[in-house]
Amino acid sequence: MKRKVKLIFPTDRTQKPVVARLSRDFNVDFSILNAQITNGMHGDMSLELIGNAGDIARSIEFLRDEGLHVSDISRHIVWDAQKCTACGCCTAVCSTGALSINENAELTFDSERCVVCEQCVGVCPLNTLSVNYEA
Amino acid sequence: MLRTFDEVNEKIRAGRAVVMTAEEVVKLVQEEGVKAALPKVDVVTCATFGAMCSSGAFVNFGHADPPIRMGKIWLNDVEVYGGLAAVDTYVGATQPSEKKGIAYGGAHVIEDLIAGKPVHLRAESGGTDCYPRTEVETDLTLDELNQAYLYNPRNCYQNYSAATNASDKTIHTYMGTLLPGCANVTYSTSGELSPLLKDPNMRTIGMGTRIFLAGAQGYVAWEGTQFNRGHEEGYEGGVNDSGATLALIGDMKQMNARYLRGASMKGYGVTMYVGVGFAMPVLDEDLLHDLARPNSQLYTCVYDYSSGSRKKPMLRRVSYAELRSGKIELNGRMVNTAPLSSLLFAREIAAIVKESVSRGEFLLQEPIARFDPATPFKPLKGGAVLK
Repeated sequence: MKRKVKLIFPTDRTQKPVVARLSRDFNVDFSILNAQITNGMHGDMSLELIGNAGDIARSIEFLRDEGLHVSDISRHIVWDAQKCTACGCCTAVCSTGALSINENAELTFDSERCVVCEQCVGVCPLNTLSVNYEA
Repeated sequence: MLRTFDEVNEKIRAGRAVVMTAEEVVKLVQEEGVKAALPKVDVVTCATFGAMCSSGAFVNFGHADPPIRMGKIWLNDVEVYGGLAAVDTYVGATQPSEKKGIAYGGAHVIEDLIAGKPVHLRAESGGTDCYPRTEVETDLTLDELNQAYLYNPRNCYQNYSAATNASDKTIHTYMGTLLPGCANVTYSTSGELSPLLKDPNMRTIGMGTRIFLAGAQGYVAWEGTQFNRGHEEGYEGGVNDSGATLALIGDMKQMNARYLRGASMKGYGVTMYVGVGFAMPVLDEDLLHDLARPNSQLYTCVYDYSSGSRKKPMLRRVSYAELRSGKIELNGRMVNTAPLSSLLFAREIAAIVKESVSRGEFLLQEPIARFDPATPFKPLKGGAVLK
């Protein structure tokens, strides 16, 4: 399974390597979606954890024991409708049809159909699409 | 000839002209036929809002004291042309920022100026006896400039090819992101609202034609670069998949940034979305027939953009009605299609021009000169054997 989490590192925890242990000790693979950590200061990191449910649960318990704040992410695409001209460039790469041009030539975004593949993000010529990693 | 420009203008001045958008006239003629519709419409408006790379603006900054003959010039870290007179420049739309790359470029500088934002000017010079200053740096807004006018050497393509990608890798092009295995097709037109598709013989459009250009009243200045009227046999609508282009001019100080947007095409570069609108007098039955042509009778061809060659393989001919439906058949399967130009904004502009003509604020200018339909579009001399 995959689970996306946001880690918050309190100031006194930024100097201790903990994330690497997810794969070493818990058999959990991870990809870093976003990270802002400065040694000796507050930091945060968004991870996608990949592994079996038990391993992932144990790894999250470990992170909490290490003093990190862990919460599940609802990563989603943010669309700036005010800036959008409905040119349609994003619909060329949207495989699920979440972004589409309706019969009134307007762009519509159906977040229910969006799988957050992020293909649209760089493709918008007016930079109206971005990813929100907020937990 | 049924109507002349003068007669139509007289009706416009008197507030008696019947004005319709090209989409409205398509419906009218479908319901009533050309003959019955002819007395019911005087003017038809068309518009487009698409990426037009060959765009830019001439600007005059005014002189500092002591003055400088600007040799190297930057606006918001985008280099602009230093090869004109002392304080003149040309802001090329596609020039990328030296600091932000293709995320910001000349087109964004033009948009920012029109939006009233201050733009940072930096210029250098070797200094001359008459222009002793060697450096200048200041912030300027559009109001503080002397002249600032858009001059776009190539806008309003009559028609344009649709794009797909037969290779096994995603490619990033000026036709957007094309997925491998011909998994998508992109196209760029306002179709039955598109100015030069609706007047394929350019009976109402030539030098001096008054237009809506990004919110201002602008003009057709000249034939566009790569103007290509070479008709191919068998094309309904009389145009092939490139066709005529127009050079456009207009005063930036009258423009609205809603209708001019700096844009960045992933993996390709900076471009500018420009809104352009036209008002055509319905001169006679033949012209109304053309103006009323629906998307189902307007065509382009799908080309494989993964071919690095100038002559790309053509996969099929397709109508804009098919492309607009969201799916077309390609190589025996249904493939998603996506537009790159905004029909929503084209409709908005066609409606604005309709409103302006109806109120008598937008008169029609008969072309001062017409463009030679035989103009050939030549490739670069020896281009196929250059290293």
